[in-house]
Amino acid sequence: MKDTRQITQLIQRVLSNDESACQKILNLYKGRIFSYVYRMVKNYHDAEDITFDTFIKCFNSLATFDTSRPFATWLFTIAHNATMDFFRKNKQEYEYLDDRQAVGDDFVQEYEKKKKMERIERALAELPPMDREIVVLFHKEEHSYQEISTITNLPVTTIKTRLHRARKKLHMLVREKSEKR
Amino acid sequence: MKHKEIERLIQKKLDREIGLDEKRKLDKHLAQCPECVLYYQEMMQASKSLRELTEFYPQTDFNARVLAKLGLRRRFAWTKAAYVFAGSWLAAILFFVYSPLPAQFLSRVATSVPALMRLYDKVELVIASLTQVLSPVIKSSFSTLNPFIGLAFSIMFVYFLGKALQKEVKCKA
Repeated sequence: MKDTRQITQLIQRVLSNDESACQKILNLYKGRIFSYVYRMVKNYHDAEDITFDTFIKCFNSLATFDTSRPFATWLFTIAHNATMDFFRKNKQEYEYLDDRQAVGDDFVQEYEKKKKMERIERALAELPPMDREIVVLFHKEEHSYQEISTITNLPVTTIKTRLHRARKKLHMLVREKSEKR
Repeated sequence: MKHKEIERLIQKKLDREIGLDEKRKLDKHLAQCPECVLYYQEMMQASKSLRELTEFYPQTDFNARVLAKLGLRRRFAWTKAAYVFAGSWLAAILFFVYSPLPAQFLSRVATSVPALMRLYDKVELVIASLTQVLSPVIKSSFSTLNPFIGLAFSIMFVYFLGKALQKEVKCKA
């Protein structure tokens, strides 16, 4: 509740052109949004562009935001839509195809010291984008099924089915990678 | 109990939707099935690892670029420091010029510590000598305008120093 109040106050300040409130919102959410988008598009610069567009859209339409709704869900919805636009522009099949390279080894190794985390990150990168998105939103971002449904505009049953399937695949991939080492 | 049923219960647990009875069933089965225990542990570990995934960040100038695009000027810390510095300077000058307290206080301290008096004499001698040397160059030895000119120069100095440091930080990033 305290967080909701804090966000509502920050939004009010942003609406009166308070630059420091913008900074606070950026600092609170840019890491989460960027990580989510980066895991979807698997390219640092594309992820940064999409995150940039997400925040510009967010600040420009902040006046229309219903403060009784969770701000994070709304922000993730904008990020999801921006990512889908990116996939469409680049003629990528969001649901099934994923012909991009897996997360750059150097980049991951630079940040991921633990081998266990590396394995899960690589396994995650091998999931189809839609499944990866649902896994990240549920497990990393800890959104509920209902919130994920709002963000992705998919029915809860689809999300549940896909998440269960994705978990099994992820488990299999992690096991494979552990055995290879 | 079938493994398929256990897998369903594990998924329910990961979904945060498992009931008390179902949890009891799961625990009971896990207590006697090493194969399911391994699967359960791996699934739980994967879930934990997913929660602890690294958070990535955009480049350091990200906030500044967003604010610039929105038409909001970013007020850097050094700009604020310049204002604080200017305010303190002005307050100090006004205090020393218009209040008798500092002079009274300083003379009391100086007279109570003889070593300080001797030091003061030496410093005064140095200042007097320097004034003699510089007096042909500086026509008026002191003007009330001088502190304010100094103040303006100091603010400019802090401002440009801050800007230069900011550039350096950006280059390093």
